[in-house]
Amino acid sequence: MHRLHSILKILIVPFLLLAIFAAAGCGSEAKSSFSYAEVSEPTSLDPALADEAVGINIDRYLFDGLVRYDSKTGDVKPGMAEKWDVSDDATVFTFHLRKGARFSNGREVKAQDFVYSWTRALLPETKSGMAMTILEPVKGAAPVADGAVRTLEGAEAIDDYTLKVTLEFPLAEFVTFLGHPVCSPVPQEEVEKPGSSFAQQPVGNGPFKLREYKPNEQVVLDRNPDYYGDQAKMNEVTVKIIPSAATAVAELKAGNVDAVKSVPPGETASLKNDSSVKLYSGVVNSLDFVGFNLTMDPWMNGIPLRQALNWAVDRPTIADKVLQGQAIAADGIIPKSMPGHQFEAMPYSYDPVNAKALLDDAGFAGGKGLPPLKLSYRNEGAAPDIAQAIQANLKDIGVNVELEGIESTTFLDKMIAGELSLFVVQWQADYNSPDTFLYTLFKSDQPQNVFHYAEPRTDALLDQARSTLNKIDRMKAYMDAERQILTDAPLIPVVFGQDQLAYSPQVSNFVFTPLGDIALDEITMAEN
Amino acid sequence: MPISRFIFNRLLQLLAVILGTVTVLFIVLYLLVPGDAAQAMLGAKATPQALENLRHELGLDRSLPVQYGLYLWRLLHFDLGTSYELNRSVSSVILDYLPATAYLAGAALLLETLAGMAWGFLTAGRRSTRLDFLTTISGSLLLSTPVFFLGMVLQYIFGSRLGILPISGLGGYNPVYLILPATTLAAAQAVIVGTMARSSLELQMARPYFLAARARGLTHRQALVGHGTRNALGPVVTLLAIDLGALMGGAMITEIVFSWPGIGRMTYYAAQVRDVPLIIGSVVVLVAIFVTISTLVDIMYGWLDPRVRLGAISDG
Amino acid sequence: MDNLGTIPAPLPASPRGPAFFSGIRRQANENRLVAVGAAIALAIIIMAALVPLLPLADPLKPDYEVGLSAPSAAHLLGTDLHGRDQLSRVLWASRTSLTVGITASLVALIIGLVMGGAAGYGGRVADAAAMRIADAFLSFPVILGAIAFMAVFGPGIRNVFMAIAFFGWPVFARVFRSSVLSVREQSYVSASKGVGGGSFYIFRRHVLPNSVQPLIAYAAMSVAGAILIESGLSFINLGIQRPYPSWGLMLGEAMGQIDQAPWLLIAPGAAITITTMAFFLMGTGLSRKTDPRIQGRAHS
Repeated sequence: MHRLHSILKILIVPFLLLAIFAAAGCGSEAKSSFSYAEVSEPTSLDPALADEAVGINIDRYLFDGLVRYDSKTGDVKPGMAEKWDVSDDATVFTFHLRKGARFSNGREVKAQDFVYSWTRALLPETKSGMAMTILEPVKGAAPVADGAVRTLEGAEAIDDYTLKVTLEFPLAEFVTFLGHPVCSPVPQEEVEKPGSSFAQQPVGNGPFKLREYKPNEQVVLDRNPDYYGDQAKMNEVTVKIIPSAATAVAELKAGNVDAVKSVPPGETASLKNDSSVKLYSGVVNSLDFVGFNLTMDPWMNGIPLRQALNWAVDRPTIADKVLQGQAIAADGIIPKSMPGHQFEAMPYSYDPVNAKALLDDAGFAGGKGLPPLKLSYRNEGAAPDIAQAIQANLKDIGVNVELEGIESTTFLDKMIAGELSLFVVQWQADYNSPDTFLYTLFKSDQPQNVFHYAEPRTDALLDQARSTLNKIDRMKAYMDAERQILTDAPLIPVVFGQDQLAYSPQVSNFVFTPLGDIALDEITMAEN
Repeated sequence: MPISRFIFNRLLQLLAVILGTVTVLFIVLYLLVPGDAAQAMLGAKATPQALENLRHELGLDRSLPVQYGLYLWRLLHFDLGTSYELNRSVSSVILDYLPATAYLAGAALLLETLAGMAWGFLTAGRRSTRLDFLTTISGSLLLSTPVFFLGMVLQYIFGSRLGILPISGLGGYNPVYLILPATTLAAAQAVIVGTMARSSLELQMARPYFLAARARGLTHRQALVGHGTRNALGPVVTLLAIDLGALMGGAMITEIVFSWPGIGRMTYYAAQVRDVPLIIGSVVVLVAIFVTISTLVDIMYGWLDPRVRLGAISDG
Repeated sequence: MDNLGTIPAPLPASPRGPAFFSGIRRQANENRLVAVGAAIALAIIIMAALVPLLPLADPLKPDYEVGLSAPSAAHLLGTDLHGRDQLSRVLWASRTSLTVGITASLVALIIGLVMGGAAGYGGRVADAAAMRIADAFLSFPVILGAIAFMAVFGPGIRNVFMAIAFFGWPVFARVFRSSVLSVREQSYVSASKGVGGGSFYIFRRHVLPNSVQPLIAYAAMSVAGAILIESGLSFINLGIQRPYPSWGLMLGEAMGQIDQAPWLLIAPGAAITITTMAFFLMGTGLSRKTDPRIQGRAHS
């Protein structure tokens, strides 16, 4: 009896200690899963087809391209490529890949995979909308897209770990293009596996791999333990598809999701005073502007008129009141979060008096003499509200425009075909370089130059920027081009986008990149 | 006429309506719609050759009659084409979204049946003109309320203010998510079912068997429930069957308000991005469902009531 | 089904039968319905007509200082995102809805008369053809038809007009055809013919008076349905375009601000409901008077 008691007494202490340690251990175990709400479904998880924010965000962490973007600054940093060399004329890029990086099916990623992936993205049967947008500079891209050939001349695997890319023309900023998911390596054996749908079951080489995709419900990602780089902080990330922002916010407050990716203006007001939720404003690389079609009257040869209208728009009010803080007043074309941004690139601010004076100088005093004008906009998102505000601003200086709401596809067609005279557009950066705004929109020979703007000095500066290897000189050329464009006023920059997100206080490190992604691998949650 | 001839006629009608719908839609969308699907799919930097190739693959470079013929031929094989936007077969997309609509339609049908029958029972046989007036007014009020208004009001009260019911999404088929959208959809119809039920029940109440039952000592209620209901159900069931088809096709606005991932909402988005195969495909499927159900109801009625077959009761 | 896109079927009256409503009391009821409906409708129409004369704020002028403000002395129904006065917008919107609703219904009526007349007078083939066409239009979902119009012609008020006229005529065709056929079967028609009365005489003397009342009843219903269609289409951006006010468009815009400014819902929604109800009551009352066996099949 005594013996038993003693034994028990001796055993109690270790047991107690064990219990304490166990409890403490449970307590200090970090929460290992993170979930966030998106408003819509990804159209496809196949990186070659990812063309909208939801899918792109997911694919950037399922796949790793040659380079990645720094989550705070957006600058390019090594991804699959450890280093790269650029030829003096900025037409040949040689990438040295790291060794031992694997797809989640176990197979090592090699240079040949990039050749295959880029070719596949360009081939007509893939029907990728983004492939030509990003890979157009690569030599031989056009014949592949045409379906004339099946090999991409400009992409060559010198050996397993060296990829040589030759471009059609000099493009110093080319490396910044390569962080887009369409340039990700995809494993040929998985893509071409019969009976599988790569769009719904992608296999990648990124910090996460796909566990489950339930359409209209959720996408679940697991940490990829074989990832070559820094391991993701969370074991699991769930993307919940909740179409109504109000519901998403309710779920956040209830603790069912940890973050909401886009909080519309109507909700931010009520969330500001709610201590159970944290708000985050992230400037993103988008510009809302009003474009002039320079092939039409009265915009053709009408610089003074276009400048006058630039002074008439009340950008701060539009950003604060109309868009309720989901935007900030634009001070130029290049958004604040993008390399190459210069403060107050444009000379215009809100000054209706000056606007009227300039209108007078232009020969249209009080708006007389102007032909009937129509301001077209997409029936989507913030465009209708921006359009109404602009209409009011212009009316204040005597310029009457009629509004025309057009649905998306027709709008794009008409705009590109040059049928719209005055239009409200939002332009999102495809890659993190001023090139995506300035060259694509304002170079005279570009198909997306919806203004039909052609100014030799601008063209020269843009081409010069593309051929300049030195980053500082290059950025200076882009900045000069931006100022030239703004003076020529083929557009009225209105606002830069500013996404509003909400997240739970349990998220200890909430990272939202300038490209509009939640950095899934860097999120950490607090202890329980 | 013999039943087989009747059925044949009705089936012919069904095919005619479907064919008519396809034709009208086809002409409207392919011929008159500006905008190029190939350009939309491949983006602005697409090479002209790539655009040509895609147009050829989609059959867009052929003349309208040829495209029409091809479409019909594929339709016969139940091939509805490929969605431009989603890049997979239209039938697979429809199959993804149709269940949610069917689920909602079914729930709404159930609600409107229960509410309608209750209304019918409660108001049948009352002898007050005043009541008749009031019920007509309140019924009219409900019928006149636009679905999107009713939906938003319910969302605000039960979602934003009281926070007790979910206001959007499917919720993984969790029935709680059904409550608000199904109620919104059912509200107006419940009035119609209710008045129809009342009329039907009152007709029964005038029948000799009913008066006899009352004479035997059954209370009004017992007679109604025990005997009247069975016979009164006929017209109500007909109404409901047709309603189901109509609900499937008509829930678009409700689905938009409640972000319900059904075929109505999907068609609206398809129309916004000019996804022509998807638009035509979903409209055809919905019309086919509706007309099929109507036809089946007609056939059933015809089988049950020979007078209909003979055309003695004119159809409107 | 959504109560959009169909001409609502009138609510059936209680069937006649012993021990139920006596004829006179029923008639009084029906008259009361028509009266209530007509009174409200008339009031709304008069107010809509007078709107330009009322001292209202400019419905199109924005004022960003007072965006989304609650009802106050300055703005009795509050303001929307752009600071526009809601009361003014609701009242101005009535003009649009009523104009579109009534005019489009008239067009539908005319088309219906032509088709119904063709069916009634044209012999079996014409009758069958016209009725099959009418059936096809009836089973076609109106909203989808409007979307197709939008895809072709772009959004705008024209869409709404066409949608209503295009899909609304079958009901009129049927009613008119019924009248024509039932009159032609009467013996007094053959009698008239025997005496030498031509078709036109018969038409004027018998068909027309016979069909007027049900046509008016259905016309009222059609306006009710038209108002719902217009607001529904404007709600989803297919109808009246910004910045012009329309009840449906106002509700659509209110949807995004429902938490911040819930009052924006009430006025436009109530306006649609009351206006629709007024015409609906008129139509129901009138149709009960003319066809006591109204057992409308509620269908699309």
